Amino acid sequence: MSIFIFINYINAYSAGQDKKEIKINFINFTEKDYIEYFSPILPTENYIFSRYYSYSDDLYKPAKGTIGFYIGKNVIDGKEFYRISSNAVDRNGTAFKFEWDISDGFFLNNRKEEAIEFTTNSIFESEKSDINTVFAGKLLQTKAIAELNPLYSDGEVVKEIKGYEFKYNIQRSSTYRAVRTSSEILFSCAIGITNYYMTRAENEVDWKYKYTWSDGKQKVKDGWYWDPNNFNTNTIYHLYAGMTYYQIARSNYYSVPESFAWTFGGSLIWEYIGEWREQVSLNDMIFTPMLGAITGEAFIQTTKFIEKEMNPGILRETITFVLNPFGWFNKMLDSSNSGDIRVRLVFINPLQTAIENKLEKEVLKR
Amino acid sequence: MKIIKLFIILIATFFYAGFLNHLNASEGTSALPVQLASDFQKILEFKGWHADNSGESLNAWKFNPSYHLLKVSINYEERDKDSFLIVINSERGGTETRKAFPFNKRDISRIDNIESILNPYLISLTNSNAEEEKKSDFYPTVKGGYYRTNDNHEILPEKSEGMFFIGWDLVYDPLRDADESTVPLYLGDYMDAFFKLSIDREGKKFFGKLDEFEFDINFVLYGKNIKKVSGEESQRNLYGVFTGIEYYRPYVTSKEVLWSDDVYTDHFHIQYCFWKVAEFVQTLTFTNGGKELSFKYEFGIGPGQNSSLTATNVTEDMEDDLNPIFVSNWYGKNDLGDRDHNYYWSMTVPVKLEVTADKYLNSKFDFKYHFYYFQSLFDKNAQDFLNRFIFNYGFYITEDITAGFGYEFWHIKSIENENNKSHYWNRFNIQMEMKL
Repeated sequence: MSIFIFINYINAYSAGQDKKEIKINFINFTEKDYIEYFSPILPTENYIFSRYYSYSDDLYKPAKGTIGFYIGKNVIDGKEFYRISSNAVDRNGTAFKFEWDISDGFFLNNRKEEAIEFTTNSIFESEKSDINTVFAGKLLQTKAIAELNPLYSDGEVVKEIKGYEFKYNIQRSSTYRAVRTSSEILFSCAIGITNYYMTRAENEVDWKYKYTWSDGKQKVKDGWYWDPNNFNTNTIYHLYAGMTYYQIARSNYYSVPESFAWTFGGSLIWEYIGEWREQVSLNDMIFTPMLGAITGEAFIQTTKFIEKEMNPGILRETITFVLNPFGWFNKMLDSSNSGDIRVRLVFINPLQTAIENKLEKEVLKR
Repeated sequence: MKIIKLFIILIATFFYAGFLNHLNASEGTSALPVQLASDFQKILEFKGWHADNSGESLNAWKFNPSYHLLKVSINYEERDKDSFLIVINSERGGTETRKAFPFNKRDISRIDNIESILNPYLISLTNSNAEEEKKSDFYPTVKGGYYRTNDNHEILPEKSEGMFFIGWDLVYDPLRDADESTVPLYLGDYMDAFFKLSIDREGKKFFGKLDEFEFDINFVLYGKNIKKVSGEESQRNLYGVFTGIEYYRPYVTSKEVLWSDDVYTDHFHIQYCFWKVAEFVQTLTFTNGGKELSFKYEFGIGPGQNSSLTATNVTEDMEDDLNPIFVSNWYGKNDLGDRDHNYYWSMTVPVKLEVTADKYLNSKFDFKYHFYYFQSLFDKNAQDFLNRFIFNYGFYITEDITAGFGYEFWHIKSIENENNKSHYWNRFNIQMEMKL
């Protein structure tokens, strides 16, 4: 199935809303098709879409004020990819085309949405600046673009830039990362609390406070102290807890110092809420984040080594899961979300485009 | 006359203006590549690379997933009267590339415009390189064997107390195979993580009990790697400030080191775990035709907890007289009476000296001396001194596997006010080591 849609966008903002209005002209496309096919992938958070349906044999020609998306399929290395492509013209009159090849699988709609949003934004920006400058700006704004390969004319002197090829790795937003990190740390604290109450007899020796607001205030007033717990509780168990917090943060793309801060935060939550009934332990507040971060990073490096040296398989997955369980989980989730996205941004010669259009219409009869 | 004067002034003004323009153009042409290199450095840093910029040239490197060095130089060249070239020479993984981008001279001051053309090319130079991706900067070693411990000075094993052990040492060292260079190391650019696990004596209850556990993890905070190469010979100096942790709980059942027989009969009471807040480490490595000789020393400081011989052989009656620095309530929690536990909070100063000769006489020799000073945080008159001597010998039975033996001698001196105790023991190991 191949579909043409034309999107006419209006730069005026709707009253009371911070959204840009886009008129979509669907050709040979029904409302039912829209609901099934397009509705899930259009970025409605940022744009208002108004739809018009028509039937025409007009060929797809880029024009100012229009975003056209061509939806189809493409086969790369024997694997089927969804293709979303779009032509437009920049401020200087340079025609360009985005071609997105998107792998199938979980979270497919996320990938399609990202492609449409990136393309739409680039086209909007190209009204104010030439497409090359727009793209160069995107390179500095995002880490999503990887393995960039410029397409130049032959020879040492670059006489023509034909376009760029790159891979697109969907980046998690800072809000998403913060929410996922805190949720996972709270989840691991909840497991710790469950275990804490399952071994209640051992732990109640240290209980000083009740679950009351006044005891809570007293706990803060009492401050921290060097606790008298068992050697291994103070070392291995707290190390493991800190390691878990640290690995959660690292697998959510935080740097080493940022992850350490999250580990310290996780330790605070545990000491003040998880162990509400005990006085806060000074040694735990030192050793949980420090030992956790150091061991956690060592296990992350070990995981990297294993992923590099071992062939994919159950054994490799099991070892990496044992060494870095949340890292394993988050990696699975993120690679499913990002999938495999390959993009071509091609600067089109208008003459060549006209010939291609003619070829499409008169020779290929499409 | 006035007209002549005016003419002379005009001519002079034109010449002066031309001279100024020439100056501005010269400044522009020399400043442009410097500005481009400086801006590219910022982009590289945003993308997780380290970069060292000197004018028009730039050395950039990254360590993850392996060591990649990129050398870039950006130069201005005249093309014709209307245009100029920005020539980018780069070198990576032994491959040199050169690309030239033409620009109109009237655009020389429009640096944003120039960068929008150049930056995609410059960024493409940082793409992962298949050859470099294949290279691993991890150096793992697996060690396994069997040992017996003697609670006296005799080396040959007499008692039927033996343990199987397995050790795992993973070094992340991206600059090990680097060419002649001086490269700064930042947080996490070098790691050494060592784990050793001993499994129940005589192999009984193989999975039931992991008796002895040891690990030592070190990360560089800031350091420097200096390498000099001359033919087949090379000299490497790696030094810097590290942070790390060290943990050790050996399996030792001598009465000397137990809390008291009736409470514990099979548990160890020599133990320590500390965070090395900061430690200085220096390693000098000399290689020549596959042979390697290295010297390493380190010293640091950090808080931790450790046991003491002054709190062994403590019966319940003696409990009340015990120094309050021994604080653990673990026995109380486990219905073993209102008993304390043999450890105290301390500040630890580790000092280590190590010499390794590898591939000499088709063998590997290891000499190590580790010293630990533990100072109680709550009693200035309580200290522990631990000395550990280690010698390992391995004969290469294949390119990467050695078979050999090891010997360890331990000595502990514990001081707690008037109370002084010391103890020593030694171990004999039969072991194999494999570089993966």
